Amino acid sequence: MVEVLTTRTESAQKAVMHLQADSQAESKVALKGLSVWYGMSKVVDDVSIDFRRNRVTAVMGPSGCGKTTLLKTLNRMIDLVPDARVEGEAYMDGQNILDPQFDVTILRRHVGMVFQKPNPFPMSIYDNVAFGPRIHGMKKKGELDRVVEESLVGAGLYGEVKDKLGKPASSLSGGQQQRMCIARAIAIKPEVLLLDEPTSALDPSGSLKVEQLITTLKENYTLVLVTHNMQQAARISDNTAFLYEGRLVEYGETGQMFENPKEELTEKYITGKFG
Amino acid sequence: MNSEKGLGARKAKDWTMRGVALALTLVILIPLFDIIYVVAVNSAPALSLTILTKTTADGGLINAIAGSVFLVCFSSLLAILLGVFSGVYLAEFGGRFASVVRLLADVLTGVPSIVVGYFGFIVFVLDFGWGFSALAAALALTIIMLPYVTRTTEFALRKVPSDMKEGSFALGATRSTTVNRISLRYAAPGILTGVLIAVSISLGETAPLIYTADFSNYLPSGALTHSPVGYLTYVTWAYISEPFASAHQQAFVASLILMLLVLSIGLCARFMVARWWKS
Ligand SMILES: Nc1ncnc2c1ncn2[C@@H]1O[C@H](COP(=O)(O)OP(=O)(O)OP(=O)(O)O)[C@@H](O)[C@H]1O
Ligand SMILES: [Mg+2]
Repeated sequence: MVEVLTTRTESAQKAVMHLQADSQAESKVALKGLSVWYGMSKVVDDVSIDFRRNRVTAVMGPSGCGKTTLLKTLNRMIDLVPDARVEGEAYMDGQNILDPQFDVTILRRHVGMVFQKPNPFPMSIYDNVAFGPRIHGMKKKGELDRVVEESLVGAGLYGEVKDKLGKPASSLSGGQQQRMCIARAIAIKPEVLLLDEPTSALDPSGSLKVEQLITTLKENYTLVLVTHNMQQAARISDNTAFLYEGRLVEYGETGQMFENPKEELTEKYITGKFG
Repeated sequence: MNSEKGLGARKAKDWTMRGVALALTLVILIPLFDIIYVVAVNSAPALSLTILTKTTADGGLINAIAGSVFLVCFSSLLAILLGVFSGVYLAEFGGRFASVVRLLADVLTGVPSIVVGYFGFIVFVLDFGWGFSALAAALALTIIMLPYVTRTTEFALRKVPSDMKEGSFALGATRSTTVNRISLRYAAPGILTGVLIAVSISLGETAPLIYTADFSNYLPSGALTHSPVGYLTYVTWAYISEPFASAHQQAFVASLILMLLVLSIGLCARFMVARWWKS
């Protein structure tokens, strides 16, 4: 099965595939032949995907297939891993963000990230959300107040916390913390938002809120959502990329892919007949 | 299943452990209370306001108290400044050079304080020509404190969860912004604890000061060089061997004050750390 996938014709097929996927939306971030190694092992293998503007793209695949690694490449957090090596190209609005000359702090202002586990900073809710704007030079109290409020409203958390913005962020529930982390990410007004299994640490009602939030964020952002939850991908994503052992097996419109997968591997994964 | 029998045996084991732990704790506490008792009883007759109004020459201690506080504040300032910076370097930026620094810091912790005192005498008092002085004494104390502050800072910074730092990087923060605004803030209680331990240690040191501060019966002159400084541990160490009852009492009062200072630093540390975690 795996051997069959590695054949040459595959990449030609893939090129056709991502042209078919949702061609009415513009491309925001385009990966071209992206490969990533940790030391000697190749964990992302020649992946080409177009992430489209104002769409939620779900990235799915079994544990260890390289989803987080792929996300970390998009905001160059991968640079922090000492023995990681990246090859290929990643264009955001036509600029190669993998170019060593490309300033990562600028890149990360435009590409926000929300982690699998909520990671509040050891400070108040207000200071958490104001962190990004502050380090990028916003100083005026009035301006900061407005951004903090806007972001919390955007993350659907404002009503719950408006009377306790000075309280430590650690006093929030897990679901609230995750929405605060989303507020923190959108406070610097990124264009792309990377979400790495943002609901895996949350209970169903917390997950539901975050899912609703992701759907509303679509209006302003390009979203990339890593998830293990098939129902979730089906509910809120427009396009889905299926990775297996670092390779892109299939990429297409979510509804179509779930109903009528082109690849046998995808079908097996979707129907839960995996390993 | 013979869970009943196993449970009984486990309980018995548990109680034995508790008993042994309690007994050993008491054994440690006995000498501690003995020290407190001896110091309290022997210093009680001499406790009066003269301690704070007169100098050692006239039966008081004010010059020694002032000298100790001055030296400890001065050296703490230097040790915190240097120690926190080198701790940050070791934890966040260090490469191969860092492991050398780390080794040196560990060796320095093991150097007997009398050796540090003698080093201070040779280098600061003689070579630099500062004479017996506050500067020479404070630097000697700084050398004693530095490895503690450096290493506790490094340890506290290493305990900062990496997902917190990644969160900061992901918002476009540089490494130094992340250290300043996230790591040091998270590590602050740990660093504070280390600093206060170092302060307590330096307050109780005699050896590094004998060769560098000498002793003075007068209040600290404010001059940094060529002016000996009095300090409490000297009174305890030297006056106890004088053939006068009043000198013995002064020695015990000096010990009492040292103990109270260390105790209040300890309480202060607990209070501050507890408050920090709350906020
Ligand atoms: N820092 C690292 N150094 C070396 N290998 C790593 C590192 N991070 C991840 N890997 C390896 O790379 C592969 C892909 O990891 P990645 O975290 O991208 O997987 P994933 O698809 O996100 O998995 P999961 O669904 O479990 O989160 C795994 O085999 C993992 O063991
Ligand atoms: Mg992952």
